[in-house]
Amino acid sequence: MSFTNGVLRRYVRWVTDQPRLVIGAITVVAVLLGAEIRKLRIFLDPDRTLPASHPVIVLGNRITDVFGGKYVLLVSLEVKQGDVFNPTTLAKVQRITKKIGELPGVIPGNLLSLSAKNVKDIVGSAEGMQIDRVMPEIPRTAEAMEALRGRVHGNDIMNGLLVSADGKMTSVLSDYSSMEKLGGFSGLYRRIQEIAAPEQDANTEIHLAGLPVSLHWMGVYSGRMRFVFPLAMVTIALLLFFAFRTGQGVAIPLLTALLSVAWSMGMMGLLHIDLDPFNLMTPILILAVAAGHSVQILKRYYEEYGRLKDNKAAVIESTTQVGVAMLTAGLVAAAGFASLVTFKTTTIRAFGLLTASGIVAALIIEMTFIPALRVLLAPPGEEKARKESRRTIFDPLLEGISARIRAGKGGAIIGAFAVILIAAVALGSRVRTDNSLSALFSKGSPVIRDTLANNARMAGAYVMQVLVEGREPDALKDPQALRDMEALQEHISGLPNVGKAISLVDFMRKMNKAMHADDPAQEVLPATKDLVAQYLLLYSMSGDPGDFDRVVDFDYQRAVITIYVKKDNYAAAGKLMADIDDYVRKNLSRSSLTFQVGGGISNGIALSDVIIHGKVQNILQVSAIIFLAGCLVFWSILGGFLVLLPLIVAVLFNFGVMGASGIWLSISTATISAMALGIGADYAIYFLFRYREEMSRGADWDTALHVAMTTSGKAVLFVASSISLGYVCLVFSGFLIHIYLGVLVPTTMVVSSVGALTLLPALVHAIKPRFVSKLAPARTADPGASKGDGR
Amino acid sequence: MNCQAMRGSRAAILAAVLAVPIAALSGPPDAREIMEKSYYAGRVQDSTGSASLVLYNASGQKRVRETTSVGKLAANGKDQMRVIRFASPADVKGTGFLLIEHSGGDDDMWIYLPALRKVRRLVAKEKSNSFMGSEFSYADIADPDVDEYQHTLLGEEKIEDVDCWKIGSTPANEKVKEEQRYGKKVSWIRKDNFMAVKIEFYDLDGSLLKTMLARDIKEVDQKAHKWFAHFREMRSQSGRRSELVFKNLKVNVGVSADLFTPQTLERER
Repeated sequence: MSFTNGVLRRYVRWVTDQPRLVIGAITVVAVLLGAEIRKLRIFLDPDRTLPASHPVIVLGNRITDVFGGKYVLLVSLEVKQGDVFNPTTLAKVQRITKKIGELPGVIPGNLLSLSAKNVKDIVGSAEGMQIDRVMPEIPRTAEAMEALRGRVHGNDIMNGLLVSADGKMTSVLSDYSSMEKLGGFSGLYRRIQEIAAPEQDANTEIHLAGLPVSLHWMGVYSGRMRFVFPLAMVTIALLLFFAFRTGQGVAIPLLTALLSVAWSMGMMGLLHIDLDPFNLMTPILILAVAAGHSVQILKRYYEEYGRLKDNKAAVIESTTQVGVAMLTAGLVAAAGFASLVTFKTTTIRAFGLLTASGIVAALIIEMTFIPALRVLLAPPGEEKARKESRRTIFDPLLEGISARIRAGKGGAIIGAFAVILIAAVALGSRVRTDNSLSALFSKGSPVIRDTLANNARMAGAYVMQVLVEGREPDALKDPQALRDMEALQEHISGLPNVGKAISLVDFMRKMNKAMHADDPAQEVLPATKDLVAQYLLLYSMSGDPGDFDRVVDFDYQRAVITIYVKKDNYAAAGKLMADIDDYVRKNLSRSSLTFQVGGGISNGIALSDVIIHGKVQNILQVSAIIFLAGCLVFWSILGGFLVLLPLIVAVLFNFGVMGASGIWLSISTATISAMALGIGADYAIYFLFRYREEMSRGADWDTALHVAMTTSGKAVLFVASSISLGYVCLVFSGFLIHIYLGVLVPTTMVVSSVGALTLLPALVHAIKPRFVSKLAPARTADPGASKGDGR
Repeated sequence: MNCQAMRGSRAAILAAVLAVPIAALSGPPDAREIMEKSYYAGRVQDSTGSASLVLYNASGQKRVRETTSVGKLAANGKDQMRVIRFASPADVKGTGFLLIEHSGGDDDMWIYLPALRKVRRLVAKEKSNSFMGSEFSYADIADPDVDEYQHTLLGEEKIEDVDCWKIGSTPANEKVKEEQRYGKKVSWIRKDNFMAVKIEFYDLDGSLLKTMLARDIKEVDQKAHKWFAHFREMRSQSGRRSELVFKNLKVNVGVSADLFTPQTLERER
């Protein structure tokens, strides 16, 4: 310690001797790295976010490779007067279908609408059958229009999928093999808007829904971080001013925080690591951590300046004394976060790297730029120093806690925490692990309004698929195989949340009926393999060769049941998956076919699965590293435990709040919980270092406690309260991720600071650990400490 | 400039002016004429034979269908009547298909499904529909009437070392456009026998949709100079392709018109 102190002191003195050089060098690095932010891409590709080996993804990719269905987008036209069977609305459908069909990456066979080329109606009569487009042209006469209405409503495949039962809505469904040529989800959304917006009129409302639309909006809302971040900065600035009452008190922590964010973002750009929308919240964490370190040093600077009355000496003293604690706390946290690069999930790796580099940047800036700047700035005048040291509402609070602990009432605090933690664990166990893209949006947002409007009348805006697979080619021509598929499809159709399920079975039944002069009793599966084969051949004569691509593969070995569902959340989709698997296990175990659920929103299930479990796992991993580092720094297992304690308290409390308020453990909230770790450990380390420093100066347990509480503890409260209140204003944002941030980040801040300033001191005071007191003899051996020994 | 020189240049101009129509007379026939010759070059009175229809999907998987076929030209010398029957795969064996063209109107089609033992009239208004699930459409199989398209001579090119006329064709009217769904076709017609060896099909927006290649072109009727392409391939831009390979082709064997009725389709299986 003494050695470290000595080296650090010599280093800080060197910095303060050539402040302009240091400022210049850091500015150059900041500008260079800042320029790299240009290269930073914010990009959400659910595929790249996931480890390709996840079984759901493997299956999903197999399904989408053959049948598509990954990015189904709906353009639904809702009419206010009458129904959609009028020339004006149908012409709109025709134009939209045609234009969407020309988009790059669209899968032609999966483009479905009344006017789509491969949407066929199969009609039988006494002497013949007709397989024809449902609407090759817009009906010109009232009779033709009536006939179209009858055809559509009489067709199970189209009813509810292309036109609602009440005739008020009609949809154009499109599907894309890749977003690349479209410019991502936002590019697709823009193209679709260009196509759809001109069709909106007094009688026609247009709703856009489906996974690509949700992903687009997610990007839009995440982009709002641009506005939310400065808003938070301004609020934090105001609160810092309230705390310090000086310009420096506002400028220095914010400068450190901003530079750290810029450096770390620049690093990501330099390393070509893309950020996804979830990681856009990370700068807030860096902001909090960097400001926290800065406030600790600044507070100590005022303290030392008040004592030494010499600007440069105060800078050296404060930077040296707090520097050790800061470097320890910062490097511990950075190591914890950097360890996340071992994760396979890119989003978690990016989170770990971004956070670690942000923390390291904060340490570098606090150890170079800030002391250099401070020696150049005028020292606080009498007036300012007096303002700064003026008692705030925090002082009586901290003194009160300190007095209680010294009076031996620490047991009550420990007991209270025990009760709170038990309650938090109990409530936390009620936390629902769920995730959904739509749950990120508030009720009034356009994407939710459109999706609800669509789902109210139609089969559902989201897709899930069942891959049906036989052992050899032509397996699906076997009538028993088709009957198995039919049984499963019927079971699925009756499940909650399912709007419709469609497969080859529907086409086969329809053809059988048509070949039997449209006898409704004959809407059943063909009885022989030959007949199935002949129907398939017949159908192939009546359209494009690719017409059946979306329901059965080239070999007739694999088919897909497409399920249109109304909700996209993890729990509902997971239940649907489990239900289907269960049915297959119980009823179709002897089938010649295998049935596996995947594709569409189940990719999202895998995404949340991996990220939520990944985040929980990364909470544990970072905790373990912080614990180990704590053990090493204090050379004490108890030390490791005490460093970890406020952090555990904060994380558990967070889960408790989520359990009590019904907030899901989702990708976003798991991210916030992981962020809590970065903040929680710092407070404990600063407090313990100050406690130990005071003990090393010969103070007794009571005095050291009091000094640590009113200095380091006060800085902790400054940081925690300013950042908390800064983030509370996010509650007014329309995006639920921001609202969660606005609730959970302040909760984390408050709880970890309260834990560090009540539970931790109470425990230290009660246990009187040797690692806090054993440095006492070192003071005489520390030559650099002479200046600071004036008390 | 002296007088003589002037006279000389006038003569040259005169010669040049006169030369134009002379060159035109001995030059290429007009595009429509080429296409008309091409249309009739492949039309035989009647024929029997078998054909393999080989379908490949974009990833190269293959499906083979063996068929036998009997065809006859209708009384107007233009429209074809054809019965195609599937020999394999086993599960569609016996499935029959009867096509009777009506130039200027909708074609008649019947299908016989042995598993149902029923003949059904197939109403498919669109000639752009796939022929037997292949990349060929009905319109591609039955050459459309010459005047359904307007033809322009684009030049001369060699295809596989054979001199060809290159002809661009656009639909003559909206109906043809709607039915066949082509915005343009470019054909390479052999100069020696007027058989098309390559045709590019463009969609209504002008992008290439598919390309047909014809090979193994043999003279099947020496007297009337009728030719037949025994190998035809259609490559789609989607990556799918189909091949039609004809075997045992016999022409002018005296096929009876009675074969081409729905009743016979059901009986003759």
